[in-house]
Amino acid sequence: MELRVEKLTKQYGSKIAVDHIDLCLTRGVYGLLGANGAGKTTLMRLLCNIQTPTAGEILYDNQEIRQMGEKYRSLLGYLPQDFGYYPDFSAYKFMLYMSAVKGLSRGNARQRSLELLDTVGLLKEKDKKIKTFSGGMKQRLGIAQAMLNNPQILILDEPTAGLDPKERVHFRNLISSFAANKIVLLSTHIVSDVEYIAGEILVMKKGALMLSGKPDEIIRSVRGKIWECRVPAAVASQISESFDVINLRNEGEETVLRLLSNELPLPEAREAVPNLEDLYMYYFNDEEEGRENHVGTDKI
Amino acid sequence: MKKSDQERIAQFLQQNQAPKPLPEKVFRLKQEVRHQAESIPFAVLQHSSLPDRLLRQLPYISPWIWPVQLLVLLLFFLLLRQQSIRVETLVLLSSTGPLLAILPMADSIRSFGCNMWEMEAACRYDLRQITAMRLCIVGGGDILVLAFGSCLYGQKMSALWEFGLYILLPFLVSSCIYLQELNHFPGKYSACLLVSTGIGVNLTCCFLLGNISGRMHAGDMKWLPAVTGGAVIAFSAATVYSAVSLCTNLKKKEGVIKWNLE
Repeated sequence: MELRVEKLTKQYGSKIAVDHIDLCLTRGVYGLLGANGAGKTTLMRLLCNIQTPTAGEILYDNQEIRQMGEKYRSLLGYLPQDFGYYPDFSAYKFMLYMSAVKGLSRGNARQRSLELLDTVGLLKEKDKKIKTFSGGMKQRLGIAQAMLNNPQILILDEPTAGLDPKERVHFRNLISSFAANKIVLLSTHIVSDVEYIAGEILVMKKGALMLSGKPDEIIRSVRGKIWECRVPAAVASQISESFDVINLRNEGEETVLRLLSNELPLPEAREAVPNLEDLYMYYFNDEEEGRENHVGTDKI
Repeated sequence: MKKSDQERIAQFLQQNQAPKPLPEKVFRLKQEVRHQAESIPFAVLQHSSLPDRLLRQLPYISPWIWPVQLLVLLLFFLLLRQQSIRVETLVLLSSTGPLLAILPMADSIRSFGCNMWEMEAACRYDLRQITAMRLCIVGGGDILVLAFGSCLYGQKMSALWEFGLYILLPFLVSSCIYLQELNHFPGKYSACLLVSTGIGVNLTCCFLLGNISGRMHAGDMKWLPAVTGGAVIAFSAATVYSAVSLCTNLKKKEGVIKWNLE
């Protein structure tokens, strides 16, 4: 089972949303990291055959997915970023509807819908209208519908948005149990979700794939750039203005700062062991509008 | 089997337990079973006929559509079964054409209005097929209502072409216009555009048909039945063509797809 992407490009006028991406996905969980506007959603839509690429191709087991058509889509499970629903549908009716459009038989549709509603903790609410659901409940319903046809390829766009920590842990365990022998691609801004379950991380920026590899491999790229120091609370705000601060923790009269810098920012700073969040901040810090890039510049 | 034989078999099985399978054989068998199971798409019908697909979609059509169609059916039943039908009644009933025509369109654009298009587009039966099925189901209901009306009308008067002129043509013209609008002007104001077009077509039809009926009374327009027949055939073909174009072009409507970049 292999999903291969070759020189994939998607352009809207002069804007390049996906820029010559080459990728090979096999069984396992892939985490797709990137800031807003990086091209993650566009890439996912291309992989789901919802949009047509400007150039390049996507091959599943050496077959072009556009030519496979219905056969490819029957292997797919997709949860989009903006989860929509028909307001007059109950959760159960929604699952039956999605079963119908995914081509499940009637009997299996009922059984599978109930099983998945139970798995995501919505069985008691199955006859309630979706419009009465909270954001987290809608998200769980979205995850359930994505798994209806036991897809070989599961693509989830921001699946943990709106879930509380307990639900996010439950979701991570669900994905991990499901992901054996399947291709799972999930995009998120919540780095910890990806850190715990993804076997491989893909980092996208401005439409291009910047990094890909196992978490500890790609984290090595920011080794020597993450620093921690303990400073008086009165000085902390000054330092924050001059350096990129990943984390700030107040401990009484002192503040512990986690900083991003190409070289030693302060004499009292110590090199810290980087994590995925540090990597995210390092590569996407300059994406914030109007913010200067302080890495490696002014020192106090 | 005799009871004594059963007892002997039970005793034999008790004394001679089956050997436990080797752990590695169990593991290999489970792996093989899992691999086989996962290589088969889960419970997906290998082939589903069109009538079956349409039947599966039927319960999910907007519930308010059926009462509207029933209302039109009732109107036809009440007004068309009279012995003599006034021209004014027919002009009034011409309003049912644009009304019936808007029903399939309203159901078709629900996917975008409710933000379901993305999920549906990634399903086995993608957005094009789902839209086509909705048009078929609701359009089929419209056709049944119109067929019922024409049967009622045909019983009383020999001039079935009048039914074509006053009711069928407004329905077909409206359908064509609506489908072309959805094809060329997709977006979040589609519903408003359809409704305003429907009102416009309705008023125009009432005005034109009122004038036509006046001139017919005066003995003019003897060519009207033939032209009506031709127009019905032409607009029927145009409606089918517009519906096919709409479904075919759905994937190309990237203007309605959200732009990911800021």
